[in-house]
Amino acid sequence: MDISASPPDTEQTRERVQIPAHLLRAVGGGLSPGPPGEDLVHSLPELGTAARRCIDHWLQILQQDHPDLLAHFSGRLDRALALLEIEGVDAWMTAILDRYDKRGLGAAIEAIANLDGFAEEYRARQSGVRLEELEPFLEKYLTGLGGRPLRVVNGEHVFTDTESIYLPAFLNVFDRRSDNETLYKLTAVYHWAQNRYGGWRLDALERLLQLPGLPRALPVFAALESLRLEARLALDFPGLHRELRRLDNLDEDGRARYLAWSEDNRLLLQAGAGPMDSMDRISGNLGKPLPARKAYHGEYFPETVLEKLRERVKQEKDKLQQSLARIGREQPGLVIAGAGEPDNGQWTVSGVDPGVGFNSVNQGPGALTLLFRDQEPVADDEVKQLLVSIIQDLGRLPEDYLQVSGGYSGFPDAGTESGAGEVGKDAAAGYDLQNPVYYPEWDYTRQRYRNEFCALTEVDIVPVEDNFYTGTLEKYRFHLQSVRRSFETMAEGYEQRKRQTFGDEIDFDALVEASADRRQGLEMSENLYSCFHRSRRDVAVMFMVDMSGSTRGWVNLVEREALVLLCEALEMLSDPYAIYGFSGRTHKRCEIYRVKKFEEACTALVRARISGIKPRTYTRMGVAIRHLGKYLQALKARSRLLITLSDGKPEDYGGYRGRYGMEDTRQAIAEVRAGGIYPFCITIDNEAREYLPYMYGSANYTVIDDVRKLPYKVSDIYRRLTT
Amino acid sequence: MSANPVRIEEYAIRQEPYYEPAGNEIDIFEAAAGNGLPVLLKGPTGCGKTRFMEYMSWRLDRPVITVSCHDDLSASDLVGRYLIKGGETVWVDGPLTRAVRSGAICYLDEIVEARKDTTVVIHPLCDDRRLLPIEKLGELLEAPPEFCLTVSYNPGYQSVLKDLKQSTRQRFVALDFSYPQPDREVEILVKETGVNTATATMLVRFAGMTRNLKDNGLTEGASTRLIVNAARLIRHGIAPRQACETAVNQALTDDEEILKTVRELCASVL
Repeated sequence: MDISASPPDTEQTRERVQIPAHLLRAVGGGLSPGPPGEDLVHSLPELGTAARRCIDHWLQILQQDHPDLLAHFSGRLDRALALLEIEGVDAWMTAILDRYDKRGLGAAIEAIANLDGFAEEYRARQSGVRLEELEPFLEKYLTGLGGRPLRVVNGEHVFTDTESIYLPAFLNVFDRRSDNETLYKLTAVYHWAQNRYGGWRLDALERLLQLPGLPRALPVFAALESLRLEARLALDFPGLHRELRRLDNLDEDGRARYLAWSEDNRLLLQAGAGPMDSMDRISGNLGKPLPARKAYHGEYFPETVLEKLRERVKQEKDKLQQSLARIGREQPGLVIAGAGEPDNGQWTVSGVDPGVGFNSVNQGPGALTLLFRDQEPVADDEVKQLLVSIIQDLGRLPEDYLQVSGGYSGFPDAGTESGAGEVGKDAAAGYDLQNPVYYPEWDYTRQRYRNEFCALTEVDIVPVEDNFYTGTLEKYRFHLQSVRRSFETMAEGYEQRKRQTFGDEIDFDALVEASADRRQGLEMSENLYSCFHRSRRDVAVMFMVDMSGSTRGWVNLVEREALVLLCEALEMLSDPYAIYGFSGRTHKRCEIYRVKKFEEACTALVRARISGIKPRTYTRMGVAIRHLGKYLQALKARSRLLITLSDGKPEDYGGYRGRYGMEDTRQAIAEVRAGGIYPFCITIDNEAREYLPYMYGSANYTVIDDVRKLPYKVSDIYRRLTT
Repeated sequence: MSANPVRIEEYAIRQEPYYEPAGNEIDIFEAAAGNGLPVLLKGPTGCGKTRFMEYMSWRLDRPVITVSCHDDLSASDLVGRYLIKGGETVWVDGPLTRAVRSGAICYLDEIVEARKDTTVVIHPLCDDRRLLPIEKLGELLEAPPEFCLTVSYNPGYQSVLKDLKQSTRQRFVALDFSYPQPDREVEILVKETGVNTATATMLVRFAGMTRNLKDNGLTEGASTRLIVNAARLIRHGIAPRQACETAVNQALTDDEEILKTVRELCASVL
C-alpha cells in the first residue's frame, strides 16, 4: 500500500505524533505537508515507499511510547539513514524499544546516542560469519578433499595440530558475508594443505625444531611453505586457487613481494617440492623482508604438532598391524604365518607415489590398494584410512609396518588395557539385584563364553511429566510435516495382487493361461482377476538407546528428541516398535530401562518415560543386545531390526573396554544376526568409523557427524532401512 | 505377431565393448563359465558390472540376455508362459529359459530387487544339477555347458528388505567390483567420451572426493557412470560445472546441505 494514497490517515498521524517538520519532508509525499520530495533536509537519501512506510510506523510507535524518544530519534534519523540501510534502521529501532521496555527511558536515549556503535556492530553482524554456522560444512568439505579426517574447532589462534584445525569463532574481514564464508573455507583448506602436502611430516618437523634460531627461522619457513602449498593447490584444485587469489587481502606491494619471493624460490613451485625443500631455503631467505600474511594464513606451533604426531605415529603402527593380523585371520583363504613367525613380505600397498606420498590423481584412500601376497586386493576402508594417515605423517610407508607377526595379539595390550583378567572385580559389590536374568559374555582372551556372567535387571524409567514431548513436536513441527509425508507414502504402499478370485481388473496373464489350459482339456482356474491391496509392511524394530553417563547434556537431549520424532513417524506405520535404554556398572549390575514395549501403545506414560530418559553410568553393550535380541526373536515379523543409538564404544568397569568390550559386542551382534535379526547402529561418535565396521559390518551403521542433526536424520535412516 | 519377438542372435554383442580390466576378473569369469559355475557380481552402482557382462559376452561369443529385476518380477516372467495366438495357445519361453535352451548368458541385474520367491527359481540352475524345471510344460531342461548364469547386486544397500539370502548367495562364485583406480578411471573417461585428459583428471578427482563422503552424508559417492555422463555433456559443449551439477550433484543427493558441500568440492577442481 502506498501511504500517499491515503491522505486523511496521514494527516491524522501527523497531528497525533507532532512530527518535526524536517522529518515530515524527509519521509516524502505521504507525511509531508508540502509537495512530495521537496527540500529534503540534511541530505537524507531519497526514500522509497516501503522505507517511508517503515519510518512512519516507527514514528507513530515512538510518539505513543514517549515523546522524548521521538525527539531524540528524529535528531539522529538522518545519520542513521546515512549509516544504515532501512533494514538497519529498523533493527536499530527494535533495539531502542527493547532497551526502553527493559531498562527505561534513560537507557533507550543512551542507545539512540550510541548509533555509531550500533551501526558498526550491525554491519559486522550482517557480513560476519560464526564458525558454528559453518562447522559441519567445513568438516564434510575437508573429508571430501581427502587425507586424514580433520576436525574444525574454535581456537584462540588459527593453526593446525594435524588432528584439528583451529579457527576463530567469528570472521568479519570482508564486507560481504559470502566472502567471509569463503575465507573460513580457504583458511581451513590452507591448513588442510599443510597436513596433506607433507608440511607436518615427522622428519621435516624434527629437522625444523633443531634449526638454530628457530624464532627467526619459523616465519621464513612459513612464508616458503605458503609458496609451496599454494602452488600445489593451484595444480590440484584450480577452482580453489582462484578463490585463494581473490581473497588474499593483499595490496599491490604485498602481491609484488610474494611475486619476488616466488621468483627467488621457483623450485618450491614445482609439483614434487616437499617441506625439506622449504627448509633448505630458509638460510638463503633469512634477513629478507617477509611477505605479509594472507587473510587465510595462520600460525605455526611445531612443538604442539610434534607432541601429537609422535603419539599418533606409535598408535597407528600398532593399529595397522593389529588390523592386518585381524584381516589375515578372517580373510578366507588368507593364512598368516604361525604364531611368533614374522609375516615378512606378505602385504604390499600400491598406489603410493614415494615422492609425495600419493599419486597425483586422487586424494583419498580409494587410490590405495592393499594386496596380500601380491594378488588378493583387500577392501578394508579402516586399514586404508590408517595407511593414508601414516603416509601423511611419515611421507612413506616404512617396510616394517607391513610385517605382521601371526601371533599378534590384536588390540593394544590386551593384558593391561582391556584388563580381561580384572573382569569380575566389582566396585559396586553388594548391589541388591531383584530377579536378575543372567547372560553369558564372550571373553576373547579365552575364546569362550563366561557363562551366566552378566546379571541383568529390567526396570521402568521413572516418567517425567513435563512438556518435553509437546515442546519437541513444536520445535520440529516443520520437519515433522515432511517426515509424516514420507512415512505416509511408506504406509500407504499398494501392491497389485494377481490371480485373485475377485478383483477390479481382469488378470490377462491368468486368463490366457486358463484359456490355454481349457483348450488342452485341463481345468480352468477361477483366479482370473487382479486387485490392489494395501501392502503389508512386516517390519518390527527395537530401539536400544545408550543411556551411559557420556550422553549427559546435548546427546541425551537429542536422543530424546529423536525418539519423540521416531514415535510420531512410526505411529504412521503399523510397524511394531519398542524402545529400551541400557546402561550399567559392572557385569553384576547391567540394567535395561523400559520406555516402550512392543505391545504398548504410544501413551502419555510412554511419552513421560521418554522425557525421563537420563544419563546413567556405563555402556555394557553385549548383554543389552542379547537381552533385547530375545524380545525381537519372539516376534513373528519377517524383518526384525535392532537399532542402537549410541555415542561411543562399549565401555564399563572391570575391564569391559578396548578390545574386550568390542569383541563381546561383536559376538552378541553375530548371535542376534544368526537369529534372523538385522542389527544397525546410529552413532554420533566421529571416531566410530574406526571400530563400528568391525562390530556391525561395513554397511550396518551410520555416523551422524553433528549431534544436533540426530533428530532430523534418524527417521530418514529408518525409512531407508525398511524400504 | 511372433511369440518370440526377439531372436536370440539379436542378443549377441558383435562389437567389442570398451572395458578396462581392474584385476583378474576376466580370467576368473572364463574359468567359472568353463566349469558351469554361476557368477555373482558385487559392487556399487555404476562401477562397470553391466559393461563387464557385455564384454564377457563378446569375448565368449555368447549372447547375453539381461533381465533388470524388480519387485513385480514373477517366476513366470523368468521361465515363460502360455499366450493365445490365433485361437491357439502358444508357449513363450521367458528370458531364463531362452538362455538355457540356447546356451547363452543370462544376466539378472540387481537380483535383490526381485521377490525372494522368484529368486528361488534359479536355485536348481546354480548347483551341479544345472536344471530348470518348467512345470507348465512338464519339462526338465538341462542347461548346456555354454549356459552361464550371472547375477549382480550392490552390497552397500542399507535395507533390511534387500539382502541376498544365504541359500541364494552361497551358490555363486563372487567377483567383487569397485570403482577403478584413478588413473584407469581417467583413461576410461577419455576413451569412452573423448574428453581431454585434463578434464577427465578433474572429474575423477571430483568423483574421488564425493566417494570420501560415503556414509558421511552421501549413501554412495559419484559412480564412474555419473562422471562419464558429465564428461559427455562437457564434450557436447556444456560448461563443466553445469555438467557436473546436472549429471552428478543432483543425481547424488537432494539434501541441500550436503549438496552445498558437493558443489563446493566440484568448484574446487573445476
